[in-house]
Amino acid sequence: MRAPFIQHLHQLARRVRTFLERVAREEPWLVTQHLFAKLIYGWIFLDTLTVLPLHRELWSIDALVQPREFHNVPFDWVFRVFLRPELRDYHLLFPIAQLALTARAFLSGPSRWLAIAIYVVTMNVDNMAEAILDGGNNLVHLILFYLVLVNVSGTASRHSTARAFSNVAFAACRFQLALLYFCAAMYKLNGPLWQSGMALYYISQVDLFSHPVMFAAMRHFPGLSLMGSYAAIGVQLAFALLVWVPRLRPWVLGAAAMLHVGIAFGMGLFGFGLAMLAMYTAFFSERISALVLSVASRRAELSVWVRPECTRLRGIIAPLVHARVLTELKSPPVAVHGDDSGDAALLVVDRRGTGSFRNESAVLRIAVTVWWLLPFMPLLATLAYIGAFSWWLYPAQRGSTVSAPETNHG
Amino acid sequence: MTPEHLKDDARRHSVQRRLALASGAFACAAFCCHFLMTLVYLSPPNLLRMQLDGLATAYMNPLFYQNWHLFSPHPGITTTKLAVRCADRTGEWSEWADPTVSFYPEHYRYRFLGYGKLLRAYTYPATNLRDLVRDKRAACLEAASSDADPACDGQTIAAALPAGPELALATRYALRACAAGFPQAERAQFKLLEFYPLQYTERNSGVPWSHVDEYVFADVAMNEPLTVSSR
Repeated sequence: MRAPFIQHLHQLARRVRTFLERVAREEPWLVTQHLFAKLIYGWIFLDTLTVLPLHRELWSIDALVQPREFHNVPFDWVFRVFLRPELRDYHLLFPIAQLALTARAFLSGPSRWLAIAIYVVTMNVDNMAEAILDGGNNLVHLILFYLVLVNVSGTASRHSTARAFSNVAFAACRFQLALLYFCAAMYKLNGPLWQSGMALYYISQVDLFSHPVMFAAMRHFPGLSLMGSYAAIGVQLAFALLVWVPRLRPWVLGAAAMLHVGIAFGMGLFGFGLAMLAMYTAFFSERISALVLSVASRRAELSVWVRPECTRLRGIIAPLVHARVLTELKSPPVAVHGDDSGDAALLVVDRRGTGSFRNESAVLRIAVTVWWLLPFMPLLATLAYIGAFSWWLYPAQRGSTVSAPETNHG
Repeated sequence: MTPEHLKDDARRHSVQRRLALASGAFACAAFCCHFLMTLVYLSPPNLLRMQLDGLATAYMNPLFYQNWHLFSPHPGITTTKLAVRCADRTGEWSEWADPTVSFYPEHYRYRFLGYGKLLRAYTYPATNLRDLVRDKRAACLEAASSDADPACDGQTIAAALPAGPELALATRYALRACAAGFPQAERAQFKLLEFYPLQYTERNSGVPWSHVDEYVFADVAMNEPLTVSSR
């Protein structure tokens, strides 16, 4: 008989083995990876497009931003090749190639070869004017490297090695984001201005990273600087530590999104804010990612099935069916995202194949199809998250035959 | 199915399982090594960093370079600009002006249009020059016997700066500003301005800045040849 310690070791080894096999066998984030890559490439497209009219000032031989000198080393030949003096006259080639590649990846779906091409081209474009880059660009460079390994096609990989590296690289994207926030929070905790809560008061006086309204507010209400500075540290620390807890994730992502919307408009770091928001999709569940992709689909045709017992819900859906916004199904669709659709009150299927949804997700899916409901999306999403739709979705189960009917043995 | 087929299936299954295990182990090991290096690279000085700093830096640079200070621990709180003035053939100088002044309202109004990046490009010659003056001043003060040594005054150091890429870039900035704003300009001159923010106690003083450091540089002719070499 083995000693308990040895048994524990064997148990641990078995678990590690099972985990490693799972890493190479399953791809649990296929849809999220696809959405994440699309948004990152979409961000790169926007970032370059907004500065394209300024190309002479940023990338040409006469630009005021002077790049590093080209060195005859492999890194420069791949990622800084446009710093060669004879190529500087053609400085627009790489940004245009970058726009074409990212547009293609965003519109018709990314692939591994496209990921490699976008990585090389983006590094070349950004290395032409390092002085205008910010944290968002730096993070995107790292993520673009990981995306070369991630399966971004949206369909399962055939080889276990590709699956293993894809899973690990996608996990690296998530860790990288958490690490960013952890480092930033730790540095802030060591800064005297951040400790005293006066950091935002002073930053708001820097022309480039401020807004007149922001400084006026800080000057008249000094408490704002205190709250803002501490909130920034709190959100960054909370993100790094709590984003791994699924129940807390929506709150953490929501708080961080608010922080970056504030940074985008208050400090003028719009690209950085947008990059961080795109990064958050790495933490979306497969269901939410499918919902987002479905929403983005331009030609959705929705069919809906309502459980016959849910009379209140039927009353709400009926006008939409009557107005031909939705088509009603007589029986429930077969599979809804691998969920058990047996107890669902409301099921929605996009006949174009972009996804199928149940209950709260189905309500949100309908809401984005009906254009006049779009302004209410934030409210509907909040209500869905706190479970406020349950009264509409489950009236029959609550009100009438919840228990099984008595059988007549007589 | 014959026993041979079953045996083949079992063997194939076993090989696939081993391959999956090896792939998973290799990928996870690579992940752990990569993040260990990243942590060492980003961590403050500690025993592990003392041991692995050279290795971590060699591994991370330049492909995985990262720096997550994000306005911390000491956020930049000064505004640095170059003010430019131009002289026509008669030698009469215009007022000092900030060539980027018209971009700020656009930057505040249209956050998503890239004016922020343009302003960063336009302020780059100024920040570049400021860093050079600061470095020279710090070196001078370290060598000097007292902080009040007139040789270490910012203006003295700025005026004595040798020709270099920073000075050439700032000169190009001034020449371009004069060429754009004063078609009759014959000479251009610039000065480096560093605006210091209002202290909390000064916030209702009615002035926009606490104080301004000002370093004036020598004027140059508009047709002066310039070479701005890379860093």
